[in-house]
Amino acid sequence: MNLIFGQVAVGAVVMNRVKSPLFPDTIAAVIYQKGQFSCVTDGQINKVISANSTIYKAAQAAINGSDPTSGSLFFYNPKTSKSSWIYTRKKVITIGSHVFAK
Amino acid sequence: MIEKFESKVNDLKKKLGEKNIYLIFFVIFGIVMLFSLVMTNNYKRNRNALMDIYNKSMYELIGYVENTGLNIAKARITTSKSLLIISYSKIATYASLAKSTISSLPLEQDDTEDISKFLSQTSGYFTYLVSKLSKGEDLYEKDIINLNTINDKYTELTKIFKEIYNELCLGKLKWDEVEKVASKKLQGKEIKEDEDLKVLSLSKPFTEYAGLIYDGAFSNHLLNPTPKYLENMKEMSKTDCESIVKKSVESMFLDNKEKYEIEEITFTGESNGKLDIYSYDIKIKNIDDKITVQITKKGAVINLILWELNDKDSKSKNNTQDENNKNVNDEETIKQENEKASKLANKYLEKIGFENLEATYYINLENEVTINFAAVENNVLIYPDLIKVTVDIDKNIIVSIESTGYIFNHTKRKISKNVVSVEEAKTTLAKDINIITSRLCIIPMEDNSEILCYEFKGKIENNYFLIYVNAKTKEEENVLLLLETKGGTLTI
Repeated sequence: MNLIFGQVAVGAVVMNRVKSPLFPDTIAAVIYQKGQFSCVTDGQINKVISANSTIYKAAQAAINGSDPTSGSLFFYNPKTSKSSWIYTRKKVITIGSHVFAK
Repeated sequence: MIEKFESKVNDLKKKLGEKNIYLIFFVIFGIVMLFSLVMTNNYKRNRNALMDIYNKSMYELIGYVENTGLNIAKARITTSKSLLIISYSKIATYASLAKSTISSLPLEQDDTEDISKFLSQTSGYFTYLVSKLSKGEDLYEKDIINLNTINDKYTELTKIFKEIYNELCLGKLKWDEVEKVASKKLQGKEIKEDEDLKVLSLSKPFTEYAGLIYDGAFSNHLLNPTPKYLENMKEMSKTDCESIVKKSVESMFLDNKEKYEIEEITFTGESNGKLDIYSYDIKIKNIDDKITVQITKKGAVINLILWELNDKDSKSKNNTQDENNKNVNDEETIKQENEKASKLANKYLEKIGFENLEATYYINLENEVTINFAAVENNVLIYPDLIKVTVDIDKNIIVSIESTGYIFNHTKRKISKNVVSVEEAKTTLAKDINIITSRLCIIPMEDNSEILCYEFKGKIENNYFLIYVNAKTKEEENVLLLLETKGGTLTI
């Protein structure tokens, strides 16, 4: 599984939300929207990024417009997802262990 | 277990004396009590602070929505164009503020989606009206219809907000309950009548709201655009796509065919999102690298390729030293790197069937250069038709390509020859600009329409600008500031 591909996909969901009228209009507001990203809720987002991480390149690619999710606004891991509401969204693509949806 | 504990306590009693042991226990107990009291106090204080923030956001939201509604009502009876421009600007601002305030409240996405869309479209719509009136144009009939729709929705919305305001003032709006009910809904559980809080029904007025169509941001027709480049292309089979994928990936190796070879191509799935695509994973022989490709079903056009390089050497070198290295590297080196990357990228693009492209902007970070390519027709630069290629200049390979802009916008354009001359266009520019270059180009506007313009690169004091002058009407359509950043030039 291409790790950077999954990272760009998550970044693309953030960018798609910024562009969408259904979500807040800034990257910060989208990321910190209550309950939207589990890594924000549990504090992982504040961890130091490791030296060999592909995260910066993935983030840059997402900002540049690379969108492996084809416009998706949601993603979830079907094995661990606790919300039944998210299954009502239209599925677009599966990347790695996550389903991306609109 | 208890016996062991008892015997230990008895040992301690003997060592320290009975009084002392009770004293120690008492002190420990006291510390624990104090600790929990302090923690509980802190928790309550933090909780109150959070509730205060929610309440503040709610009051602000109510204010913004009310102000939007009032200004819409006032604008309906205003006839003076200049006053309308001011009113519409206020409405756009308040609607935008209302939308951003919603994200400060602990409401679930499901309850806020519809009202967010409505507020975005209100803001986008009134911004479009302002730009129309500023150009001296009049409102069309469909604009009046849109205005009436918005007005009706605001009347409904104002009613709901009045009820929420009452709840808030009477202290009935408890955010704890809101969070509980919201998470219940999220898990698909049933909500009782009295649990159905007003603040969770913000989206009720919009169950039959189809949305607005106008020439501006967030308009309905922008939400689901059709890819123009693929219009007359046929849907291709998986086998045809796979052979094109193979050729496209092999071309990425450029002159390094001895080093890289495809071992396996795996079809990983399809998706029907903004574009209908097939996805493939490519494994390279002998190394850990993986390449992922997304290709459109119609026309088998490469949309996205990402090459994940697992080269540990290059990564460690870059991350520890890059800050110092890039300061030492002067402009000349960066320019040479960009040019080298551009040549390699062009070679690659031609091999996979993207022709007539010109490099416009470069992002130079560590060992990778990302080049923005725009289509060219009759020497006119067409910015919406965008392809981004990333080149690894140490390895001389292509590491990624992204062509969404090109796929959605590229067509053969009937570029009008009926344009003003460069000299005439220059007359609209500010007198003290030092003009460096000029050329014809097509630029995208916020509503995805396109305008043929002269692009003037100019300098005032120490700032570089790009000024776009409409090639037919001589109106200034856009002004962009060029900011030099560590990685490249940013246009703002």
